[in-house]
Amino acid sequence: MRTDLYLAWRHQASELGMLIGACLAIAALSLIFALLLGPATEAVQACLRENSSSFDACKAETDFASLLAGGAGLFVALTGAAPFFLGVVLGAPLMAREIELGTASLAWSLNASRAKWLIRRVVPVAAIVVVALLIMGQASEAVALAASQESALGFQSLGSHGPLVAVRGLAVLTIGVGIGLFIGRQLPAVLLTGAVIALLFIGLTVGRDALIRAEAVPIPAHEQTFLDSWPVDSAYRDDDTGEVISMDDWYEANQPDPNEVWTGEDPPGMTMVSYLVPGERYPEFVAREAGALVVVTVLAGLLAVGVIRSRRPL
Amino acid sequence: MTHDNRDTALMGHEIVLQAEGLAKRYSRRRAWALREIDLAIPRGGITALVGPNAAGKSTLIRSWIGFEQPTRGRAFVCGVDAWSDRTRALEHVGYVSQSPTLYDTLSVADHLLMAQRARASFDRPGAERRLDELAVPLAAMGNELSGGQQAQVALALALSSRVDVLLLDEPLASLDPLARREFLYLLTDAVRTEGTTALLSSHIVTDIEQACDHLIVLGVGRLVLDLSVADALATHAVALDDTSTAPIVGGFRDTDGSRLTVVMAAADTPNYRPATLEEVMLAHLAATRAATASERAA
Repeated sequence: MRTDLYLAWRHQASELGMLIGACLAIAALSLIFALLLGPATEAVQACLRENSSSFDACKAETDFASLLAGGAGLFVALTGAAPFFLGVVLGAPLMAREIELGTASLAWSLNASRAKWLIRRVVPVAAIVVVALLIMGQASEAVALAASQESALGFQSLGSHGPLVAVRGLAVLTIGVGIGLFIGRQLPAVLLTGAVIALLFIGLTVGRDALIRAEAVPIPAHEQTFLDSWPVDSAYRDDDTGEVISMDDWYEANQPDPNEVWTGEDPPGMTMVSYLVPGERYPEFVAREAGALVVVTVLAGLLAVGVIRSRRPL
Repeated sequence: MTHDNRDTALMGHEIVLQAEGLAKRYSRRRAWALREIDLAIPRGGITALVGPNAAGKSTLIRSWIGFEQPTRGRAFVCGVDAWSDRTRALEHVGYVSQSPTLYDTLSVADHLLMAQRARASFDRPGAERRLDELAVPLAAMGNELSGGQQAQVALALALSSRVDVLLLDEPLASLDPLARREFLYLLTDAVRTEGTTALLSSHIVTDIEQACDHLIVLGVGRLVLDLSVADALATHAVALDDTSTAPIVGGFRDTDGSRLTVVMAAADTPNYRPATLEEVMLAHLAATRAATASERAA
C-alpha cells in the first residue's frame, strides 16, 4: 500500500498537492475561526451588557464577530462544495488521462489483472481525498457549531460538515473514475461527470426532502425551541379533538376578516403546530444518505471494473 | 513454405503464439483488419512481423496482448486464450507499443518500481543494470527522455518481466539508426541469453533482417508469408531476364524505375540473382495487392 500511495502521489503530485493543500488550509482556517468565534461572541455579549443603552459602543466587537461569522459561513459553504469539486477534478481525469495519453497500454501490459491495477491506482487517491475531506468536515463542524452557539448542529448546514462530506467525495470520485474510463478523454469526462453528479444530487435532494416531509412530526409552535430541526410546514391542531388541519383549510373554513390585525395568538381552541424533523434525528438522516452513497459508490466501482475489462487502450 | 509444411516443421516445438482463424473488424463500415489468420510461432528466436501500413500487424499483436477482442477466431499465448483468459495469458507476455508512452510525472526508477509492484517476477536490479549500460538516467522523468531512451525503458520493462514472449509493435519506427542498433542489441542479447521468444513488427525489413530468424508477412489483413529467413532467402531469387520459367511470386518497380520479378528458385541458378529479404517481402505483397484488386473488381 505504501508503494501504491507513493506512486499515486508521484502520478498526481501537482493536482493532489494543490487541492488537498487547499482543503487542509480551509480546515485549518475553520479551526482558527472556531477558536476565535467563542471569545468574540462573548466579548460582544459582555460589551452589550455593559453598554445596554448604546449599541454603537460595541461596534468594534460586533464587527469583528460578524467578520468571523461571515468567514465561518464561507468555510462551511466551501466544505459543502469540496467533495463535488475534488471528486470531479481528481476522479474524472484519473483514468481518462491514462487512456488519452496512451499510458494505459504500458500499464495494462505490465499488470495481468486490470481490475487490480484499477484498484491500486484509485484506492490511494480515494484514501487521500477521504482523509482530507474528513478533516475538512470535522473542522467545518467545529466552526459551524461555534457560529451557531448550539450544542449540536442538527440539520443546520446539512451535508457541509461531519463525515458525510467525505462519503459524498468518495461517491463523486468513484463516479468520475468510471465515467473517465468509459469516455477516455479528460475534458469530456470532467464535463460529463459534473453533469451526472448534478443530476444525481438533485435526485438525492428531492428524495431526501420527500422523506423528511413524510417523517415530519407536529410540534406546538411555542414548544419549538431547537434551531437544529428541519421545519417542513405549519398547521393548526384542534385542542379538543387533537385533529391537525392545514392553515389553508382552517382559513377556508373560518374565513377570518382579512383586515383584522394579527395579534400573534392562535385562534380560540386551536394551537399552531410546526411539522418538523427534530435535530436529534440528523445522524439517522446522515446515515441513510451515507448508505445510499455507499451503494452508489460500490455500483460505480463495479461498473468501472466492468468497463476496464473490455476497454481498448489507444 | 505452405502452412502444412510449417505445421510439420513445428511438430515437436512448443507453440507460444497461436492464431486460429483470427479475424478482426473494428466496425461493420470498415474493412477487415485481419482475415482468418492461422499462425503458430514456436518458442525461441525472433520472428519478424512485416507488412505495409494497415496490413494488420498491430491488430494481430494487440490481439495477443488482450487489447483487441477478436471478431472471429481466437488468439493464444502459451496455450491460453488471450481475450477470454487475459489475466493468465498476460503473465506470459511483455509488450512494447508503437510509440512507448511513459508517464511524464514518473521517473525511470518510478517506472521500475511500478513494474515491480505489477509483477512479482519483475527483475528490478536487472532492469536497472540494463538501463545503466545504455546510459539511461534512472532519475530522469518520462518526458525528459528522448524517443530512443523511452523505447529502451519500455523494452527494459518488458524484458525484466521475465516473460516467455515479447510482443514488439514497431518500436523501431521512431528511433534514429544508432538507437535502433542499441534496441536490437538489447533484444537479441536477451533472446539469446534468456530464451525468450520475440515477435518484432516493422514495415522496414532492412532494419530487422539481421536480428530475426523467422519472417511473417501480412498484407491487407491476410497472412502472405510464414517461413524462416534462411528459407526465404534460399527459395527466392530475382530473375535477371525475361527467359525465366520459374514460378513467379510477384513483380514490382525498383527505385531506379526498372521492374524486378521475384521467382521461386534457388539463388545460385543461372540468370537469377539472390533476392534480398525486402525483395521477397515486396514481391509477395505485390502479388497480394494484385489478388485483392482482382477480388474487388470481381
